[in-house]
This record gives sequence, structure tokens and C-alpha cells, in this order.
Amino acid sequence: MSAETHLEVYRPFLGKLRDDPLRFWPLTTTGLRTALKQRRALFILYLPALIVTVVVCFVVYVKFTAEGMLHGEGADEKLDFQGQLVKGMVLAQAEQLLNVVSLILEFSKGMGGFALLAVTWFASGLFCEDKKAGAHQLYFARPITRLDYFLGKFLIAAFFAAWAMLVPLLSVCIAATFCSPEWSFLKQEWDVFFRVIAFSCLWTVVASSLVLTASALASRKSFALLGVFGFVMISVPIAATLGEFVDKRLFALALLIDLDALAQEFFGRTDTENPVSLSGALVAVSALLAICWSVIWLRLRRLEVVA
Amino acid sequence: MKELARAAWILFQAHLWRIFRTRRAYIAAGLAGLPVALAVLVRFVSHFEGPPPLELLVSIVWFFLVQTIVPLVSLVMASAVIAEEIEDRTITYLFTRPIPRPSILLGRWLAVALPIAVMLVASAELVVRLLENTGTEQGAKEWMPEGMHGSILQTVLMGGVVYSALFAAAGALFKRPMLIGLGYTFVYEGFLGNLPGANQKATVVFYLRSFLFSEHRSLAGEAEEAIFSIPLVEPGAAVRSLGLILVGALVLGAWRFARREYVLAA
Amino acid sequence: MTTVLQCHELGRYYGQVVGLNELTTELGSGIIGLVGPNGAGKSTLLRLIVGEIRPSRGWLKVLGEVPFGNRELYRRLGFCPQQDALYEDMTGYDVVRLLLRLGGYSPRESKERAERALERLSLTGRMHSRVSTYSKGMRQRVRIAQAIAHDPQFLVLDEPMTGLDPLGRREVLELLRALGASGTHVLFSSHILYEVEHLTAEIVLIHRGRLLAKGALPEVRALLSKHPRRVELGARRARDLARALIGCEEVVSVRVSSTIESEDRLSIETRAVGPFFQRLNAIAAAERFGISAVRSADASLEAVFDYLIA
Repeated sequence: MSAETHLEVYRPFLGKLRDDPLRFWPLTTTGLRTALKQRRALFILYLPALIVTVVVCFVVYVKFTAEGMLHGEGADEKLDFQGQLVKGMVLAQAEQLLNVVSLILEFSKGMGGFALLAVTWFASGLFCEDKKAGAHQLYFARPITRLDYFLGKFLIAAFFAAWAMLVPLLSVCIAATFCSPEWSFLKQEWDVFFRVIAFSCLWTVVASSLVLTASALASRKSFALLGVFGFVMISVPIAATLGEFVDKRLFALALLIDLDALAQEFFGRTDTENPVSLSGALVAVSALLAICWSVIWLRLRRLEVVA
Repeated sequence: MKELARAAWILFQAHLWRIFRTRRAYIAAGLAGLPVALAVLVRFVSHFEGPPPLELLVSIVWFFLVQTIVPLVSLVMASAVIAEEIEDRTITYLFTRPIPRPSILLGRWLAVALPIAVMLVASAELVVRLLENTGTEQGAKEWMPEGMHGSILQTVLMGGVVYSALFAAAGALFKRPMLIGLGYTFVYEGFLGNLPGANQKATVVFYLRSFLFSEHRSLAGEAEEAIFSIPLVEPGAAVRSLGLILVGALVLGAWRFARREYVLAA
Repeated sequence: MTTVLQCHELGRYYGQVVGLNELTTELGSGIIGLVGPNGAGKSTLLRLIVGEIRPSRGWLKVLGEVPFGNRELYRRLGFCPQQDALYEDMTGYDVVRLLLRLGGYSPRESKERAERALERLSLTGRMHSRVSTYSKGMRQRVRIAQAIAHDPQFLVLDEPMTGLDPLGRREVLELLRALGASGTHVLFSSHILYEVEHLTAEIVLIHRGRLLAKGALPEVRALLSKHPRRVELGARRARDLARALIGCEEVVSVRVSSTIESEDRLSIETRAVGPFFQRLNAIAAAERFGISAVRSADASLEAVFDYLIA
């Protein structure tokens, strides 16, 4: 048998690779498509958030409706002394309990928990499962950088955090706008929208960074899950003990306490019970983010350089 | 029964030394070391005049070590008892040996329960010794109520063993034991365990709390109301209940494991 | 003849996916090759045989017993799984020894048997090294060693040649042949059809969860009447030979292909291969056609496989 060559079918590439600045985007869309197939998890994690959001929107509606009825024209003339007493009590309750901005602040604390749960479930496997399956070798054989890879995965995590945080909070704001008489909520508290967006972005960035760090360090998804929950739960008693018995500033070691302090600041409320100051909270959260991103960067370097 | 014990013993011996070389053991040891690190920090940085406040002991031993670290360490080690064999696909070899299936669960559980117990008891002992020496020497020796030291060690030991049995059984019953364990520890016990009412009696942490505090109620101090929302049970009853939970979990896990089929990925 | 395996309408489903479908057969003693394309259901059948999973319908018996959870049966059964899974931090010797201890052997006997089994698989030199340092072939040998160490009556192997180099494959084939000769019933699955053919004539062919063929390979081939047998001849006077053969009633078709060498090739299709060869002998004896080669082109397992699967 003689040897043969088939040069005629070989066509060398003579063109130029298109420089696409959004190289991370296909990673994000593919990851989201895969994650959104987990319908049961979506249902379990987002249904409670949806229910709570609807309930809070309804509470806002009731508040404005009650206020409207009680403050209506000629309303006072129709009421006798007893009626006016009741009206006063109801108004006082409405003012105290149903201040919408305070309600949004409390609501954001609860939604923060849901956001953390959701992003932990959907994003904790983003790096470690890739490494386990060897998919990182496929990714880095393409012309993408570490930053593209990180951004692609980060946006997936941020999507789930934002859906549990930003969307419910904005929903309440929009409900308040439409339920308030002549859109008074929008006129008087228009800055709440920006505060909500800013705080949600902060929560999203922090939660996503934390979960991706756990994913970068762990060898499998279950370890990453454990890492995130363990970090959050362990930091609270450590901070409480050190803060109580060593130095009050060490309360800032607990992420949940820091975010609480920042939330108070974002929504213009002061809570004298929170032992952490604004600067302490900022320093702690910034330090956490710096550590998370450094760890992710170093771990991705190891993924990129395939032995 | 003889075959069950024999096979469990062989598996216990084979896996006990393997456990210490796994990443899980390092993570568990790190977790168990956190209360010690905290106690070291408190000891060298704080400035107590006289013996340290007993609230410090409650804070580190109860809230941190028993309520957080003990379940976490048990979860890290014990959730892998069956899950690891399935994920590594080595369970095929064990299933095709003439041994009762429950012996696999029992042997592997014993191989993790022992290191868990050692790690947690060592951690508790170090914490207590460090806290005993915190503050000035005056009164340090009379700081802890009599019997409290032993109660702490026993509580931590029982907690580690019972939680490990629960999570090992979870591995036999469910596909994702780590998730179930996290849900149990932080959602079920974290939620039910802090609700007022008899619901607390459906948690392991209630019986651990009873064993530790029923004869030392004064220890809780300001935290008493947070800890004791329902009457505690006697230590003997607490031990019996914990024993029942331990045996029940292992029996249920063994029963299910014997009947379940595992379709391994190719 | 001992009936090693009996299945009756055996079915196994994985949700909507059919692993096996109404498989009814009996397998006897000796060495039997289980062949089929990917996804045919070979591993499913082997897992059912060793009791790793239960049937979704129907039943099966191995050595007269239901296998799932049958501890006594496992003393007589040896299984080498397909998956490349071992205890990575143990040595090969420790793995085999542990499994022997679980099989009920004393420490001393486990030691001797483990050494013997590993020696048979030529792994003595590396048996005290960790499995994580082994090559793919060495890992496969450990898996086979643990399956044979307790001298099972029925040995089941799922793709035993995977990962082995040609020398290793030859050793395993020899080992299986020796085991078969010593009375061990062997059932193994493989994709390497010519090696199955070398080892045994008894095959079981499954496809899409169904049994397509079972029995000795020549008999199975003979049953495929839709496909005439192809015989290839090399001859100097190929065209004259073709003229002589075309008149024979056993011959269906003759094709001559020219080559650049001094002889041509004939490809003949016949429905009765026995009478055809008798006729060919008579023709070749009567006149010198310069026949240099005679080959039965499609009696192989691969050909049977292709005819049945296509």
C-alpha cells in the first residue's frame, strides 16, 4: 500500500479572529439557560419570596387606602368624638407601623436571606463543577481571558441574587407609587428607588462574590454550599463573642451585622441597637470583597494553567 | 448479627485510617479548631479583672461550639459515609460481597464517629482550659461550677455522635445528604429549636441543652431567657432521648440502605 | 450442562429510558461473550445479574437464585465492573485483601489469595503502591484481581479489556481461557469483537435492550439466510475461475476485482457454503486456476454484528 496525502482539503486560516468585547456573554447565557432548567429549585426558592412580596405590596396598599379614607374631605365632620378617637389611633398605628421606607428596610433584610439562599444554590457549582468535569480545559482552549470567564460566571450568580433582591424591592416601591394618592410616594420619596437599586446591587455583589469564592475553593458543589452557610453562621457567634468581650468594633466581623448597618444608612434610618458603625461596616465589607476577589483570581489562575 | 458485626468491624478498621488523610477531615479539624482559636484570642486580648464572666463560657461553649460547630463537623464528616462510596462508585465492590448491607453503613459510620468525637472533645477541653486561665488568677480555679467541665465534654461528645448518626442516615435515605443536613441544622433546628413551645423536643439541640444546663441554670445568666423557653428535662432523660435518636437514625438508615438500589453513573 | 443464568421477560427501565426490554434467555456454562453497540443494555444486564439493581419487570436467576441482596450467591459470584473506580489512597494489595476479608476469609488466607490473584495479573511488583499511582491498565488488573481472588463459580466482567495494552489484553484473554477451562463460568462484555471471537464461539448479542442472537457464532451466521455468505478468493486465472463458478447453482453472484499485482480477486456470494466449498475443491482439482487465497469474508463476529444491527 503506498502512502497518500490530501493537501487539497486543508485550508489554512488566513483571516483574523473577531475581537469581541463581550466574550463573556455566551458563558452567561448558556449558564443561565442550564440553571433555569432546575424548575423545582426555582419554585422552592422563589415562591416564598414571591408570596412575601405580594403580602408586603398588599400591606402598602392597605396603608395608603386606610390613610386615604381617614384623611378624606369631610371625613372629620361625619365622625363623633369616639370616631375621631379611633381615627387618631389608627392613624398613629399607620404612621408607626406602616412607614413605607421602614417597611422596605425590614423587607430588604428578609429578602437578603432569600437572595443568599438562591444565589448559593444556583451559583455554588459554577467553578467547582467546571473543574470537576474538566470543562475549564474546554473554556480556556478558547480565546477568552480569566476576566471573561469570571464575568460570565459572576453575571449568572448576580442574576439570581438580583431576582430575589432587586425585583421584590422595586415591586414594593412601584406598588407604593401607584397606591399612594396622586403618586405622592414618588414625589416625596423618589430617592428610595435609587437607594433600593444601590442597596440591591451591594447585596448582589457581596452575595455573588462570597458564593463564587466558596465555589472556587471547593472541590464539589456540596462543599461550596457548606462553605457559604458555614461562613455566614460561624461569623455571627464569633463576632458576638469578640464584640461583647474584647472590642465592640469586632462585631463588624459578622457579615449580616455589617449589611444591616449599611442598610440602615442606605435607607436613612439609624438604629442605635446596631453596635457596628458605618465606617466599620464599610471597612469589613470592602475587606471581604477584596479577599473574595483575590481568592477567585488566584484560583482561576490555577484553572487557566492546565498542568 | 455476627456477620453484621464482623463486616462492620473490618470496614471500620479499613476506613478509620483513611479518614485522616481526606480533605473532609482537614476541614472538620479546622472547624473544630475555631472555638479554640476564639478562646485563645479572648484569653490574650481581653482584660478581665478576676475570673472571666460565665457568659463568655456560655457564648463560646454553647452558642458557638455546641450549636454551630458540633453539627457542622458532624455534617462534614458523616454526610460522606455513604455518599462518598456512591460518588466514587466503589460501592459496587461492597455490594457484591457476602456481607449484610447495613454493615457498610455501620462500619463506615463508626469510622467517622470516632474521629468526630476525638476532635470535638479535644476542642471543648482546650476551650475550657483556655478560658479557665483567662483573666487574673484570683478565683480562676473556682470559676466553673463543679461538674460543669465534665458536662461540657459529655455534651459535645454526645452531640457529635448523635448528629453524625443522623447525617449518616441522611446519606442512606436521601440523594443529597449535605443539603438535608444543612437544612436540618440551620432551618429545622435553628427555627424549631428557638420557637417557644414543645416543638423544641423534636430537636437534638434541646436534649443537649437539657443535659448541659439542667443542673447549672445559673450559668446562662442574661441569656437564660433566650436559651430556656421551655422547661428542660433531666439529664438522664436527655441521655435516653439522645440514645433513642441515635439508634432510631441508624436503624432507619440501615433498613433503607438494605433495600435501596443505586444506579451509578457510567 | 449447568444453567448459569435464566431470564424471563426481563425488563429494566430508567424513567423513560429502556435499559432492557423483555429479555428471555438461558445461558449455560463455559465462556460467553456479551456483545452489542453502545447503549444496547449490556451493562444493565450485567448489573442485574450481580444484583446491583432490581428488574423493573420479569425475573432472573443466577445459579438458580435471585441475585439482589443475596449474600450467599456473592460467595460464588465475582464481578469486575466497567467503571474505573477504586479506593485511590489504598494499595492494590490492600484493596483486594479488604474485599477478601469481607468475603469471609481469615487475615492469613486473604493475604495469600490476594498475592496469588495479583500475581496472576502480573501486578506483584507494584501491588504495594497506591492505586492513585497506577496506570489505567494496572487499575484494570486490580479490578479483575478482586473479582477472581475468591475463585468464584461464576465470573462476570464488564469490558475487562478496557485500558489494557495488547500484551495485557493477551494475558487477560489467556487468564479467562484458563478459568473457563478449569470450570469457572465466564460472562464478559466487550466491544473488541475479534477478541471475543478468539476467546469464545458462544455469543449473546443484544441491541436496544433486546436479545438479537444467542449461540455459537457459526450457527448464528447460518441463520442469517437473508445475507448470502461471502467468500473471497485470490487467483491468477480469476476470470476463468469465475466462468467456471458462475454455472454452479450454489453461487448467487461473482465479482471480479482487478489488482495491480499478477492475480485478481474474486468475491463470491453463496447460500450454501458447505456445498460451495465441495464444488470449489472439485473445480480447482480439475483445472489449475492458480488459487492462492481463500477467505470467508463475513463469518466473523463483526460481520454478524453488522448484519444484525443494520
